[in-house]
Amino acid sequence: MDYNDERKDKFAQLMHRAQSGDHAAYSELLRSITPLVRGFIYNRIGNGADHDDILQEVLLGIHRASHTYNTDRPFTNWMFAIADHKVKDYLRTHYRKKALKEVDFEKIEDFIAAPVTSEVSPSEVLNELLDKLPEKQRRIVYMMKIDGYTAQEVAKKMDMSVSNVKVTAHRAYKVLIANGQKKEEA
Amino acid sequence: MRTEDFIATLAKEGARKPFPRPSKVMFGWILAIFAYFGLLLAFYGFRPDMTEKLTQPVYLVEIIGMVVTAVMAAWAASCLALPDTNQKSWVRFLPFIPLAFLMGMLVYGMFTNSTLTLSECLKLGRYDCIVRIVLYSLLPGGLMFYTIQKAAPVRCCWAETMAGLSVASFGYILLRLIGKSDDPTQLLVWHFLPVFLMMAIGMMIGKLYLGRIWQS
Repeated sequence: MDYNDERKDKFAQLMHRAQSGDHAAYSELLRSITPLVRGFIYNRIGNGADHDDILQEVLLGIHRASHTYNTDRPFTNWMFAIADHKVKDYLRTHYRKKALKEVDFEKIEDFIAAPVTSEVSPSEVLNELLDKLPEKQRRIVYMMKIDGYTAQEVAKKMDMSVSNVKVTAHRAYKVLIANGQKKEEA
Repeated sequence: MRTEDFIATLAKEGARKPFPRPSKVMFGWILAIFAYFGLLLAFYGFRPDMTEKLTQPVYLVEIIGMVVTAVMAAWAASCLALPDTNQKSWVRFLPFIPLAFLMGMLVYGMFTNSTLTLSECLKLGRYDCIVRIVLYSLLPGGLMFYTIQKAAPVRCCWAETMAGLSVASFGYILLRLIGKSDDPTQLLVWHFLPVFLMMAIGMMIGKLYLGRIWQS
């Protein structure tokens, strides 16, 4: 029996004792598997700030599913199946959030809302930022955010598809925010 | 919370008592389903020409094929209720073998032995068959769902799809034991397709409700 087999056997025994109500064995098991789970997470998602959160999520998953482990099956397979499920769950949520993250026009308003003591009016700041945009992007932002047109109306007027209008507007907002941040820092 | 403290909290709570093995879960389901369908059969009674039908090999093959599908699907569902099903990922495809065979048999019968065309069959509008299969499946399906959600499936959709297939197959058998219709086209459209409908319902339930088991 090599080291790995010995370790797997130890995990199975600890889990068996834990299922019979031995809290100390359960604590030892959770502590022993933590480095393995940590390594698994590191391999799957690399180093990140959410590491400890995911680790705790996996441990919680293992705890909640502790009744589904049967000692005649390999412990590590069972454990990594849960870890894999939790990591995939995390990645799914992470990418969904990332995909949904949109540029908020209110952020742009933060830059143009100059302090009352400032000599420059908000409209001047906005005009300055808009002037830096390419012609097409500027027109779309004007129509959608100042004249109040919908994306469909802009698409019709500019002979573009609605999705194209939305993408162009999205890019314009990004440029506006970046330029606004630069201006604020300066 | 620090991981060390988190582990201490979990350890204090302790591990849960072991869940029954898949074979035991499956036998429990099968017994419950047999008892339930036995009661329904006692209530409705066998079809009048049952003795004659039992001498027909095609009928027997159809019933046996559906029993095999139902049992295999129940076994697959009980295995898929556990997280480490990657060891036996093929179990979920097993019930499709007898199911495909039966479908082939019915399609062949539809072209060679049917008195109804597809459009005539659709015009019959035997929605009562669909409703009956769904209603017969509700109680055993609920039992299976309850057991699966007590475990920890990671393939939630598959686990419930298999449960849906199992109970719908038993529903199909029951309908064949009490109903008189034997036309292959009618069987295919109004009996066989509802089995797929139940699978789809199971899949949706799995997606909507079983995934929540893992959410903290």
